[in-house]
Formats: sequence, C-alpha cells, structure tokens
Amino acid sequence: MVPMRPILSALLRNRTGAVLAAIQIAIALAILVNAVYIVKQRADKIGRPTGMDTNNILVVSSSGFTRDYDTVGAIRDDLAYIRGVSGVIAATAINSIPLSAAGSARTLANHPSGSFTDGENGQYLEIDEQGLDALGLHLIAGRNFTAEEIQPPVDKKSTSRFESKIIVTKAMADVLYPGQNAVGKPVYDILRHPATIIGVVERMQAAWPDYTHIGSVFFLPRLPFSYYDAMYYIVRAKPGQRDTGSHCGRTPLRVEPEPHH
Amino acid sequence: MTAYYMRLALKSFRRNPGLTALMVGAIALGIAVCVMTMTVFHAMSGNPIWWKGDRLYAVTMDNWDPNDVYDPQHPGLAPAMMTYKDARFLFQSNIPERKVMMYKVNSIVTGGTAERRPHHVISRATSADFFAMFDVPFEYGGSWTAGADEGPEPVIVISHKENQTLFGGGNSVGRNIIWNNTQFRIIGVMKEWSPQPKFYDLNNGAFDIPEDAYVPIGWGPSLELLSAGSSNCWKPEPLDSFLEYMNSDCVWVEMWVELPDSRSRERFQTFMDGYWSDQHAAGRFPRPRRNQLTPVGQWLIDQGVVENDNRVLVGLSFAFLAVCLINTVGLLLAKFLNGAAITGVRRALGASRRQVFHQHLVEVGVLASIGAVLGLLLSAVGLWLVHALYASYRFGERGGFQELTHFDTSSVIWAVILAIVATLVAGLYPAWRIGRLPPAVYLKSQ
Repeated sequence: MVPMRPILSALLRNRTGAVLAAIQIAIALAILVNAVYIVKQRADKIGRPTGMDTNNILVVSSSGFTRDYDTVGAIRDDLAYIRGVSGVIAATAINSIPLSAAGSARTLANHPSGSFTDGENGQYLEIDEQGLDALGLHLIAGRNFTAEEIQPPVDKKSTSRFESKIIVTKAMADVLYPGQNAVGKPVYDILRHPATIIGVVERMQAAWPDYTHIGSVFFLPRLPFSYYDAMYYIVRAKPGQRDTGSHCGRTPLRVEPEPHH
Repeated sequence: MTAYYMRLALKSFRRNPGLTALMVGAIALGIAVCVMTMTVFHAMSGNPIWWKGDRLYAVTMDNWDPNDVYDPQHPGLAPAMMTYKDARFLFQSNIPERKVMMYKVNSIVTGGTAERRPHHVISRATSADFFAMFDVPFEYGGSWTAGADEGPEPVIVISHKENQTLFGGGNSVGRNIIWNNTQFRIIGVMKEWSPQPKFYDLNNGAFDIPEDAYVPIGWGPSLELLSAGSSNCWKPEPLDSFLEYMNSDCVWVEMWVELPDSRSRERFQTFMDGYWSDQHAAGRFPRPRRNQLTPVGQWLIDQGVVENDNRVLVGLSFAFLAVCLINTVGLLLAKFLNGAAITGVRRALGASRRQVFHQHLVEVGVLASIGAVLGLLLSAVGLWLVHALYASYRFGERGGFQELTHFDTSSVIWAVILAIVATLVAGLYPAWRIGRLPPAVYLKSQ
C-alpha cells in the first residue's frame, strides 16, 4: 500500500513545483505524440511495398545528343554489353527511373468512350522482354512480353502511339476490371486506341509519393523515348552483387561513348 | 549596479556548478531547436523578391477539364502553368511594363576553354525580360533584347557556376559554346543568384536552384524543345508533332507580368478576360472563368510552398522550448530559495525588494545568454548535419531542402530574441518570489 496521504500533503505544500512538473510532463507528452505521429506518417509512406527488388537494382543513365544519334542502335549495343557483365540477372531500357518522382502517366479506360475522368490514371513504363525481371516484379497472371513484341521508340512525330499489348499492375487491373480476370480484356487510351492486357503483375509503386493512384502502373513493350536526351537502363544484379560486383555499376559508366551515327 | 549583479551571478553559479550547467543546458537545447526550425522556416516562407511584391504577378488561366479540377486540394485555383498558345497570345500585350513566358528545358553543352566533356545543363527557354523583371545580377555582359526572342538569335546567358565549369570563371562574354547541337554566343554571365523559394518556377521543386543556362524563348519551337519540367494534359487530342503540342491544351509554360500600378493591372485583367470570352465563345475554356493575376506573396501561399507539417514543427519546437524553460523555472526556484539566507542578509542590510528582484533577474539573464550562445552553436552544428544529410542524398548537388539549412543572420536574431524571452519567462517568477520572502525568518534561523 503506497502511503498516499504524505505524498499528497507534500504536493499541496509545494504547489508551484508540482504544477510546474505536471505542465512540463503534459507539454513534453504532447510534443512527443505529435513528433512521433509526423515521423510515423513519413515512415509509413517510405515503408510501402514497392513491388520491386530495389536492393539489387541499379540505374544507368545515358544521353545521346548529336543530331543523327542512333538511339535504337545505342540501346541494342548498351544492353548487349550490360547483359554480358557477370552478376547481371536482367537489364532493360526504360523511360524513367522508378520511384524518382519523375515519369509519365496516362489514363486507360475499359471501354472506348473513356475520358480522363472516366478511367484509371497510371504511370506507364516503356520496357522490353527483360523489363519485369530487371525490376524484379512478379507476374501473377498472363504472360510477359516476348522479344519480337518490343516496338521501336516513339519520336516527336508519334508521341501519342499506343501499343496493342500491355501489362498492368493488379491494382490497376482491379480498377479497370473489378472482380474479374483482366488478362485478355481490352483497354483504351483517351484517344481510343485499343490494347489487350496480356499480363498482370502483383505490384509496383508509381513514381510520385503523393500520387493518388500509387499502385497503378502499366507497361508498354517498346524502347523508351528520350524526352530530353536522357534515357535509362535498369540493371538487376544477383543478390548481394550490385555493389560488390564492381564491374557492374561502375565500369559501363566509364566506357567512352561510342559514336552512333 | 548591473555589473555588480553580474559578478554576484557568476559567484552564485560557482556555488552550484552542476545545477547551473543543467539550467544552461536546458535553455541551450530549447533555443537550439527553435533556432533550427525558425532558420528553415524563415528561408522557406520568405518572399525572395519582396521589393516587387506589388508589381510582379503570376498569370494563370483555367483551361482545364470541364469535369475535373486541376488540383483537387485547391479547387479555386487555375493550373499553375499556361498552355503555350495562351501564353503566346497574352505575351503580345503591351500593357505590362515587363512580361515573361518561359519553360525549363534540358540541354547538353559542349565547349569552353576549361576543356569539359559534353555535359547536362538544366536550362530555361525564356523571353528577354526575365533578367530585368526578377532583378537577376550580372557578373559580365547582360541580357538579350526582346528582338532576339523572335529571330531567334543564338545568344545565351549562363550562370556563375556554368561559367566556372566552362571557362574557369573569366569574362566569357562573346565566346561561343554548343548548346543542344547549336552554336550560341555568350551574351551575359550571371552573378551567383539563388532566390529561395524559387518563386518563378515552383512546379519543379520549390527550393531548386535556378537553371544554369538561358536561351531566347523562340528557340523552343525552333529546336522543338520539349519541356523538361512539369507538363500536364487533360484533353483527348493527338500530340504527334511539336506544333500539335504547342497548340494543345497541355500546360507547361510559366508566365509572369510586371504591372506597376492598379490601373495597368485592371487593364491587363480586362485584356485577359476579353481573350477568355473570345476563346470561350469559340468553344475553349469549358470551366468557370479563372483568369488570375497573383502577386508573389500570395503565389507562394497558393502553391503550398510551406507545408502544414513545417508549421507544426515550428509549433512543436517552441513547445519544446517551453518545457525547457519550465524546467529552468523549477530549478531556479529551488536554487534561489536555497540561497534565501543570503538574500535575507541583503534585505536586512537595506536592499529593497526591487533590488533583490533586479539582482536575480540579472542572474537569470546571464544564464540565458550563456544558454543562447551555446544554443546558437548547437543549432549551427545541427543545421550543418541536416545540410550534410541532404547533400549526401543528392550526391553533393545543390538544390532542394538543403538550400534552406544555411545558418544566417536570422538565426542569430532568433537566438537573441529567444534569450530575452527565456530570461523573462524563466526568471520573472522566481526573482519575484525570492524578493517577497520575509528576511526575518531566514535571519532567525541562523
């Protein structure tokens, strides 16, 4: 039994001290709760599953800038080189760096009269047949792109081009075809170009942390369009070899650019 | 008298060094946290061109989707950028004293005497008034004239940093460099200039540093330069050529006007409204009319430069200071009452209550000042650590939040203010209390 009476009377005799201590504890608690809440909000955002094998991925950026630069030839040669490096599991060219807060998004609808408000907005990534592997995504339905399906990049004269086969994330498929198997189903872009969903990946987080469609990403089977002369390769290394396999990340960056005309 | 009190204060500190250190530490910690958050908040919420607060206006028009607002969080605002065609039209007006339409572009730069390999340079295609309008300081040369925008002439303004990179910092005006495969003549080199926030373009990182190269806006269509900044579209329309892009309802151009008085402001507003009506009659602008001229201060608020979290953090840091001060009040009370016997002797020897109050307040003042100096040091170290953290994130590049973490005069001013606040908050009550003690009691006990 704790003797409460002497404690209480002591408190009453030194009221200022007691009140001060109480206020101090109250404010300190309020600060702590608020600070923890702010930190938790951020930690939650950072902790969302990305769907990717981020620990084993590295990004190589590439810029071609001469007037007659042969983008397609450069990508072919670069990929052949990167894929030949030991420790590399898969590599793809891609139009933007995942999770980088930069990238492009478009709206897809499940019927041809789709509009921006009547469909699902999703980030799109231009990848090749190794794209899903390079990102470390899990295909849960349908199939991957084949090498023959990879289209040349769009250019300034054909930026609106859509592709006839796409892969979507499950989150996006669930909005477009709720409760159904989306594989084999049609989708339309806002210019009413049709495409068929050939595969569904379990998950991939879009590039923008505050994007309202954070799980909606779709993949186009084509080489990336370099919007402002910057283009990227996603390289996935065997577990633990991204940084230790020194020739993987560093050397390709030091290779003198070959002229591509 | 105050000097004597200060001597007494130091003597009293020596009497209980542990307790004194505790109090100084508490005040220092509280002040350090406040100085850090206030330094960042000050940099974040400042208007970097306040002297033109009633002259510079961001121009926006709501051309967005009839069924959808541009920014659901701010339904009353037009898109933060303009379409190329609308900016182009409004740009013809001679009502503004100065006007600018511009967008961010990427570039590869080659040349210079410092033998640099081709490198990426973030650039800006802009009309000539950019420099005069935003009071950009020049190290060498100057801006191009409006005529060069239309040609367009191959003239380029580079930043201080880019001039260092290309020419090692000498006067490079008149020299040629290759910018995106085209030869440009350097017409001006800017002094170091980095308004924070980057008010003229908040679409691509509110605290980014300005671009390193500037070319006349006419090079946009001429070299078919796509925007390297934000670009948003809503309308189902093909974008298969640069012309289609320029004529589209996509927003990617920033526009500002300098209107010296309310008359010119009204005239420009009328001009915008007239254009809106014509276009509306022709089937464009499906949403309610929002032709907005927004001064810089309001623009920074509208675009959400300072987030709510930042305000909460400032509040929390002051609450933390309050905890530290309450702690100090408790310790001071204990300490002063401990020394009540000495005070009793002083009172008996004729010191008035006021003098005793004064003496103890000086003691707290000295304590708070030491705390403030220590707090200032702590906050400098803290800001440096935060800066280093951001710098390591961005691989040593400048820009972003790390621009806000510079210890500056505002930090010192805050420390001084907080030291005074600390003295008053922590010292008033204990000093008053000790002055009210009846001296006789303590004399008797001896």
